[in-house]
Amino acid sequence: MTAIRDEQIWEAARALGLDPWETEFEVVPANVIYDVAARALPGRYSHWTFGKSYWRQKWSYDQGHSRIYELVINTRPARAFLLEGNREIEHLLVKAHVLAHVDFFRHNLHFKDTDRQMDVLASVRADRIASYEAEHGREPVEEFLTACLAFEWCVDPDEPFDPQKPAKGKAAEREAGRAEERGTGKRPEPGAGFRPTRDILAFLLRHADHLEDWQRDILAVVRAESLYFLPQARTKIANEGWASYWHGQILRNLPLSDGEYVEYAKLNAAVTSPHPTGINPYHLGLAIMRDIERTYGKERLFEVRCLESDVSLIRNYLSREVIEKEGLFLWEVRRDGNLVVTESEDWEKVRNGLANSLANLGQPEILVVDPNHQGRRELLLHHNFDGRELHQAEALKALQHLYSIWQRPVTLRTVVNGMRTLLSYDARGPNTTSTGEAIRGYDRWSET
Amino acid sequence: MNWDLFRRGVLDQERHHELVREAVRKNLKELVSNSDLVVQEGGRKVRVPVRELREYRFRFAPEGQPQAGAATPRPGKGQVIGKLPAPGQGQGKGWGNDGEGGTYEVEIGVSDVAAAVFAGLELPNLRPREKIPDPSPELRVEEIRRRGPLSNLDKRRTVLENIRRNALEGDARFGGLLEDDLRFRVPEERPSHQDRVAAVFLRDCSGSMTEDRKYLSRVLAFWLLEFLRLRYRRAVETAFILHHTRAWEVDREEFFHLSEGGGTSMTPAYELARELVHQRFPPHRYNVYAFHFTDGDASDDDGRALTPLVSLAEEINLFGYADVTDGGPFTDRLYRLSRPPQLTIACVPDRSSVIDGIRTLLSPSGVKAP
Repeated sequence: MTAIRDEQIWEAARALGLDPWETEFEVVPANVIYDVAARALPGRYSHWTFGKSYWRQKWSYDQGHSRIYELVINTRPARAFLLEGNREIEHLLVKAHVLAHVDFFRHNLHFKDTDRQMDVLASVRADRIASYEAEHGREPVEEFLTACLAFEWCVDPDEPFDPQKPAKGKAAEREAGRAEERGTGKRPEPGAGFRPTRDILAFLLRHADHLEDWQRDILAVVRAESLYFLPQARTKIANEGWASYWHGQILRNLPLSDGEYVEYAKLNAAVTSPHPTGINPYHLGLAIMRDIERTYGKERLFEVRCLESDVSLIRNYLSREVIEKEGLFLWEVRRDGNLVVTESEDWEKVRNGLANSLANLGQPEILVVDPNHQGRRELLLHHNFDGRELHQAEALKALQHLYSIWQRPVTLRTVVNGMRTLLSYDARGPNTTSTGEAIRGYDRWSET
Repeated sequence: MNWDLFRRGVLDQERHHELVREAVRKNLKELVSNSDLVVQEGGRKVRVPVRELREYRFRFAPEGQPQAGAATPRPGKGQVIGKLPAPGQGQGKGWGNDGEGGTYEVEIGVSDVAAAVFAGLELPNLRPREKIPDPSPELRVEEIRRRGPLSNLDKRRTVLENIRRNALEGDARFGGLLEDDLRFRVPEERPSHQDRVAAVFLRDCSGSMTEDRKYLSRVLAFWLLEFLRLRYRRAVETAFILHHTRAWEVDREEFFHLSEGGGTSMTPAYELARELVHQRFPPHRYNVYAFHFTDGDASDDDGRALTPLVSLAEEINLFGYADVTDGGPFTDRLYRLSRPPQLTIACVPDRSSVIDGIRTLLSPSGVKAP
């Protein structure tokens, strides 16, 4: 293998116009890489869900199914992990790929507010959470974390929530209690002008007054980390497309032998192959980037890297040519368990369908609309129905998690089998009630 | 950085496994009868396929949710491109489509599973019998196994095995020794006190015993042995007998896997079992439990079989006769018989009947009609 020094890779990248910042590469054994991959941040707190991801990755690896090719963290300096035992050509591909990712992290506007010292922060928070476990017991902490994580993606980066404000804690509660006794005041209510929000975690932080300080801290940690990861989740296709496009360009500009180049090509093909029942972000992203370059020129590529998220990339740049060349289509699961193609010929419908499925990270839009439902501090949520119904059993479980945090009954308005339905959870357990009102089309929350 | 001591991932994994084990304990019935239990050789852990614990959140129901795919040539509208496995069916080793809820194998202590399964099982006749105090407490018993230290090699059996295997290939003489031929005498710790327990397993390996029926036999034998281990809290000595029209002793591996063929006769099996018990597990010293797995499809003149069967049953703690179908001529005969309480009968036609079958077999007064 031609010995390629790291400086040569950097040089090649810069010569092509990429502008990543400092990146540290570490060669690590498999169990480390799978652990970091499972947590997404080295040093992050412990939770069984990470254990599950770790197990899954490692199991897959032990079965010879998949080897994580690249793992890079959005920090400054960026940190990238290479799998011990991989071949030189694999390391080379990963390094080139990673540099393009770091360039994306640096320049894409969706990342501008992310904290580039998040790995350090995560470590500090992990220690704090470990101390809570020591103090309050592992089970209560783990269960509370599980409940919070159920709403991991129920965050809104545009939510005007200031985590620095002192939270209303037990002190305020006691004060209000005394006020009540004195008969002078009402229970502190989140005011008549309550603004419905998608950010369930922020809502809980603001209004769940009964929480212990350690619980409040955990909620805040989960929210902060979610906001950190949000841009990565929103730009998966764009980022992988970007990195795949450039790793090809970089390797072409390195003094590889023909044999080495062939090896690279094989690796590349494996990573960027299409998937019949899903979207391979490497595959689709790369196809879109190539198409943009062909249609608009290289300059535009650099603009795209700055401005686009996956949804906007698809809406603005997923062209008919790409859809047809890559054989993109839409499919659905039917009740009989069959996976059936629903759109194939009509490329615009395919494009719009894909964009819609990516909106809101593919999650249903759930709003907290009333924190004092029925005047009894019950929680009312509303699902902004858009034709796609919720997984009912899971929604009830999620409501159970919410109940465990809010400690008062919680109700969700949604649509089941075309009927307005209230899913709720209280001390007696889950409940499903149909109102008998038929709902067709959209059902967005409006103040009435 | 030195990653040698890095164990966080493994520790997190442990957390997940613990939760899974909890969930497993809550769903043991289904697990015992429906899963392919994989018992590690010589180990006390069972690998049980379980679904991952789900992380619940607000999600779309899979039906009616448009998703994208890519394939060339592109499939046309209305084409079926795949199918989800039916609910309840395992997805085998692999991951679910939505990325969650795949199955993998988790290790659980066998005694944990057995304890949970058999909790509350009332078994009056399992009180140890009065035994004669063992005059030679140093006496150690030896099981014949396929693995063991070379110093314990049972040369005679090894040679016999080898000759037997060669004979099957048409050349009955000693030669071409393979690892599979080796047999070892593995000594078992023996309590010097009384209360020895032995389990004798008989299995019909005639042509009519299909894979399914063998599977049921395997599952039943596994759990019955486990129950005895749990109940007596000590090693249970075992012996395995296969029969079709003849009967012969085998080791555990063969018992579970061998298929032979031919017709069925119960008499030789019961006669051999009786002889074996008298020689190796004399009932005045042992608590003996015998179990027979068959499809009840013996020829009619097997009225002769009833004598050794009933005699044996009366001498030991329990004889459990398990028909792994929903009935056969010999089974019917047994049902009509006026039986001693130690002789129990159960029909276990499918996986979902396993748990109930085990209970019936282990309940001397109970009889379950098909």
